[in-house]
Amino acid sequence: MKFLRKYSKNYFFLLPFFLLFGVFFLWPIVFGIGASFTKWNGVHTPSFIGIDNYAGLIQSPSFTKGMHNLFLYILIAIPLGVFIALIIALLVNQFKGFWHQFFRAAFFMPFVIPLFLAAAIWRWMLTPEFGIVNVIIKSLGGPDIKWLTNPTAMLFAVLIVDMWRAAGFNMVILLAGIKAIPSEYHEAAKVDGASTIQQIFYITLPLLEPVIFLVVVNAFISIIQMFDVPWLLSRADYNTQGGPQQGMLFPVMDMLGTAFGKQRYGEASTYAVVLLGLALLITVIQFAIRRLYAKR
Amino acid sequence: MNILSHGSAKRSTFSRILRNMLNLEVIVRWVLAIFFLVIAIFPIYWLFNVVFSPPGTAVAITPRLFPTSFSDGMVKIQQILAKGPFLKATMTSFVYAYFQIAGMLLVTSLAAYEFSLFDFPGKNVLFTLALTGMMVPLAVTIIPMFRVVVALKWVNTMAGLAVPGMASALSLFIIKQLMEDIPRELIEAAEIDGASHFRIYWNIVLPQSINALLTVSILTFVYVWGSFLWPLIVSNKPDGYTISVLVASLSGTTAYTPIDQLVAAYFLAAIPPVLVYIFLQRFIVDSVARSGIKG
Repeated sequence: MKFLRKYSKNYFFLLPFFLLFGVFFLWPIVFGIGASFTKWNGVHTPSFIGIDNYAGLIQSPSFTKGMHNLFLYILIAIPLGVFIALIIALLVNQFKGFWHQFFRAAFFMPFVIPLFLAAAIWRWMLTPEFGIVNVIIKSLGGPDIKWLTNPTAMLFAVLIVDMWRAAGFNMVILLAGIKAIPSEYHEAAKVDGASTIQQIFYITLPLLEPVIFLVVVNAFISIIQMFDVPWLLSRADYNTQGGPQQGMLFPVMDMLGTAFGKQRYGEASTYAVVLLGLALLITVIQFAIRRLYAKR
Repeated sequence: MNILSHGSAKRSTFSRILRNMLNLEVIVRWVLAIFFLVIAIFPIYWLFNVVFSPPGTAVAITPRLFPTSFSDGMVKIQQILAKGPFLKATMTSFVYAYFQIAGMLLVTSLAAYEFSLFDFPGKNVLFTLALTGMMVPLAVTIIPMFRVVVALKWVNTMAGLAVPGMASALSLFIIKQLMEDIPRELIEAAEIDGASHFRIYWNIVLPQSINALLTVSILTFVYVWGSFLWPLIVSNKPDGYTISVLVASLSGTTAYTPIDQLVAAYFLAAIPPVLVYIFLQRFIVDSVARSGIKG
């Protein structure tokens, strides 16, 4: 009783948050995992079918295609994204005073344009033949690229929009990391006659490793839930997603089609569990690597 | 600078400036910066440029680089505004942002107050649990979340849009970090003076946390304005479209909207977050930067 009286006010103030958190976050996770083992059309009561959904998913061509696109995209987007953000961060760090503030603000700007709008704007700019991007490419003597219908080019259309928006965001995180490096290191290097490039390779980059790591993990998690851009670029709806040959199909899009198009909620829940597993796996690997570094 | 000879010092300053201007490093730096600047700004500029140009220039083989007609732009904007759904969707998005921010501020600041300034059994477990909310992608929980909203009969209502996002782990985290700077002696002194738990929260802690509350409000506004997946699922009737779902449907396969009006719609939809960014940039960029230092 005494215990309750002492802490009841603390728990009472936590209640609104955890009530909402429980209803709209914890329960959905538990329920989703449960539903992944059932056959369920969203109307009738779910019936338990064991791991049939998981077996079915692995055999589904659209699941394979979505995962294939996802991994291919990760393979290209993460190294490229980190590289570009790093270049920009190092570049902004070279400027001082007004221009430093100006470039930091300007490069971050694309990130405040919402994903749906970035996708819509770029889809218009990537119009074949008359879109401004292709007009520029053609005026430089390049081919007319069918960004939105050529199955190979499509993934790069997603990449362009994503890189355009994310580069500034990652740059700000990396730049904060660069600034946190004690200036004595650079001063000492300067005294020893190290050039800017040498300082970057021997001081900045090694000390920045944990922050680069954070950016990579962030990128993984955000690519797993890639949705808005490919959905809008491929003009998807609940019945068809991903454009010609499903070149832009990402797992979350397929999951939505499975649930709201085919009314197969059980299978869609399985999808969610697989994605959750992927996200957890990445988090666990992150912690493992962190610990490994800490030991050294 | 050489103290012994003032004359040569002046000359060497001049030659240093000249050398600096021709310095390869400086040239490379500026060329790269302008290159990236053009890429970052171009789509936004191009939107502006095409809206304020005569109709028919949205897609053209010989594009013009500068806007030529303010009145043509206003005509396009009037045309898109005259179509009822656009204004309605804009209002819906503002109301959605308003309710989500209000609810989020209340529940996360109450929880942050406890986590930052008091000790109680289970504190660490509960806080760690709340933080898992930052690590699990929204897409993973979205279908069962939708079923919960269906069960509550909240589909196509403002509550269905705004309530599920209120318990934001990110907001909780940001507010808690700033509240931790409030000295505990201040709280203890107020307790001794007989102030109630709620009074301390309302009269002492909240006023001290204005910066944190402002930061999470701005972040939530930008997030809600851009949210697409959740409104697409939960607000699926044209009457309840948010700006994101409306823009998607305008440019989708089924609806036909002339490209000139479509571009005007994109332009208008970009204004609120861009304005927020221009005036409140510090709050947004700093909170992102802080996540880097922590990592």
